[in-house]
Amino acid sequence: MQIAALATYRPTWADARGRRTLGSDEDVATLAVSAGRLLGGRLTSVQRVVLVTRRPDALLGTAPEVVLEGLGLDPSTPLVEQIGGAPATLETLLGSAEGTLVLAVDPVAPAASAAALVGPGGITLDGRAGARHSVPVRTVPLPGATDLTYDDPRLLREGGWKRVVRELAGSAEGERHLVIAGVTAADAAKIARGASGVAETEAAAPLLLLARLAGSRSPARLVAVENGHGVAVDVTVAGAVPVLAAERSAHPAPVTWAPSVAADIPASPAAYARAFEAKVGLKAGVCSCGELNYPPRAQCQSCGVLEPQRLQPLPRAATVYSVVTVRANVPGKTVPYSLAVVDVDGTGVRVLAHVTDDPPGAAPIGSPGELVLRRVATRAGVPDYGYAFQPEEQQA
Amino acid sequence: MRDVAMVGAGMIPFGELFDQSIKDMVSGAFAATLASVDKGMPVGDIQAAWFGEVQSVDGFPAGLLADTCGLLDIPVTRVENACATGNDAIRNALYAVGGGYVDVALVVGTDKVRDTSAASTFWDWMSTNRDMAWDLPLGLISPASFALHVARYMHEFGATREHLARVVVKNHRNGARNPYAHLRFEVSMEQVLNAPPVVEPFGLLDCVPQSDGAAGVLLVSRDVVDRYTDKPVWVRGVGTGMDRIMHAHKTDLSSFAATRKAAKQAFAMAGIGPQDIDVAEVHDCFSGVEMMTYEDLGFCDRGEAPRLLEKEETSIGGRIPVNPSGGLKSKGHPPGATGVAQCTELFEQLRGDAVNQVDGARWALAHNVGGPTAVSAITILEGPRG
Ligand SMILES: [Zn+2]
Repeated sequence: MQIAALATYRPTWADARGRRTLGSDEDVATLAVSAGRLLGGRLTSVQRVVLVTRRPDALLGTAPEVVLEGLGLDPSTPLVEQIGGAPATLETLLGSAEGTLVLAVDPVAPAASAAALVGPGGITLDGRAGARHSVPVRTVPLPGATDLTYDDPRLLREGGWKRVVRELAGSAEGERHLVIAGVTAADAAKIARGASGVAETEAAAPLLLLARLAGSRSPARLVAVENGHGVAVDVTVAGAVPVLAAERSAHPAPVTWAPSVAADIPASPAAYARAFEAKVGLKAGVCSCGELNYPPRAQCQSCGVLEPQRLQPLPRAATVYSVVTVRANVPGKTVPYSLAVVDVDGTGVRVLAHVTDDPPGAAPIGSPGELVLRRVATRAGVPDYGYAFQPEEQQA
Repeated sequence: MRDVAMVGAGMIPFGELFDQSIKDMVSGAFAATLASVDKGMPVGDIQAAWFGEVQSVDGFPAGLLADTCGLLDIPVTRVENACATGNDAIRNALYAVGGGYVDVALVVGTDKVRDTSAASTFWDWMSTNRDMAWDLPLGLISPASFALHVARYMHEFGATREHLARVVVKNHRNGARNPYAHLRFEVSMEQVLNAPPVVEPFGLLDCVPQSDGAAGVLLVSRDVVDRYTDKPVWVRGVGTGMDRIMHAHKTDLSSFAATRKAAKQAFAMAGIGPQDIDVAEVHDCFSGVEMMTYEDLGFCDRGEAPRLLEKEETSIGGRIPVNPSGGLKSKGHPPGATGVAQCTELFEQLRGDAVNQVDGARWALAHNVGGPTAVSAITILEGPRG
């Protein structure tokens, strides 16, 4: 099979060990969208979506409709949620027909997400081989729960990934470069001279490595491992492959994102459902007079007519019109946070949004940036998605 | 429309009134209002009443006023119009008296915010005036809602936090001498500027306290005014202006459109202009709101509000003293009572009885702005010499 385009995303925040970690407004759904949207106009060819992650936010998730709406895809597009790590991503790619968008998300540090669009393109994967042994050293019991790790790293290494890589590296001998998804870059370098890996070791790892391979024409053997399970393919790069990457410079994450005063923010799932398409798809109501109304409203705020308005996606580029930073404790909210009213460039539309991916208070009036899909709140235990304003990065 | 006079106005001292129920507060304000009528006011003379209350406490609001004050034989109606409730309740009563339907009307405004913990009721209050799907989850708390306006104003016109602090220092200086004020102390410029931040650009001292309180006024027609006083205060103009609810839909955050509309209505009805006002009670829920409102009321030109503060023109002794009572900032802000209590202060100012008397005041203006900056109510009063 072939890959037509790749995209990778890493969140802005870094934990105490310098590993990228999610902001308080990010989760599997927003990470999937952050990577997928980088493909831009290529998304129009998507026929089917597979979302691969070892760690869904909930076993009965809210992610599918958010991912489809956030990517601007038709909500009837097939979307399959696949639980698994690096091998699952590789198997998904190999089993996908042209027009499939594979989204792989690693929400735990080091966090990343990536997207691959299956279709005629410069990267070819073939020569699949697999291996499977029962070495359940690292397991993830339930969404949100702490990982269980059997206290024997030697067992994981010797009985797990080393054995799997040895069995599957086969054709890497000779001119093929060995790349390993599912172990750290440091571990990968130890197993064979010249082998490489990435810090991210779960579902996104194979795509992060393919994005790296796309830049070179040397053939490679990619092995994806998890515990005692592995899948391998030969990677041949024959032509230019678009690789779109979003990675802002790191900001230290706060010690905790938890609100200092606990409280439940009231929710109305019925109200959320009515607002969903406009709120998660960033769509304005279009009046017959041409005015864009956002949030959509019954009466056009320009010409005053009362008639149904169709929804139309808004551009994402925006500029801060006014901004303030909340520093007092707000029950149920993580403080400080900045709230901005932004002008969506060239539309006459304004959006009230949190400022994200930037230290609160850092983006003054006039700052350019873009609107990005985020989980703006969790209310009564239900995630609530909408748009946040991400200021353009300051040039150092 | 018939001329309408204010013949009585009273209030209870605002504060954290843990020892009083809302019924105690309402009956206290009612008694004070009756007692303020020079020649007395039999309860049986009152023909209709309006009750301003934003958040219901202890149940059914209109019934609470009727039952507590023995007004069981007249119509009683609750008015809720966010922080503009007080002056809007007065407008409702004015229409009834001016329109000839009743000769004597009572307005009582109150709110009790300290019967529940701040954290437990925080989102209940937020839910009363935020869009459930769009704005509520963003945590657009009240100071942030106003600060988005003030930050834009400061950006456009070069106002500073020092200008905002001048409002606070002035209002606390006035409130420190007002026995009805919640926060009866003066503050220094340094204290205001160094207070912990709440929502930048507001620090803790730029924000109103959480106060309980109640106030009342009595409006009567010209036909019967002589029965009650020889020094009536005339209600010459009222206005209630609206704006878009969502900040995303507002056109200009450097101004309060609702205030401009309310002022236009009230001045047109009174047949005067802003230059005629001698004293004003202005909604200073947050320091910068008072500053910006100088322009929306027409007390100065666009962009000149910081100059007014620098020249102390809104201090007592200045060209147009604002908030001689101490304002919401020092006197307190129980939303339903606030506008009514502003008129209590102005009733005294126009009759020459105020604690911080503005000499020779003839025309006075009371102003509220509230909700997500989407409603304003204004009352214009003229003193007895009119
Ligand atoms: Zn229109």
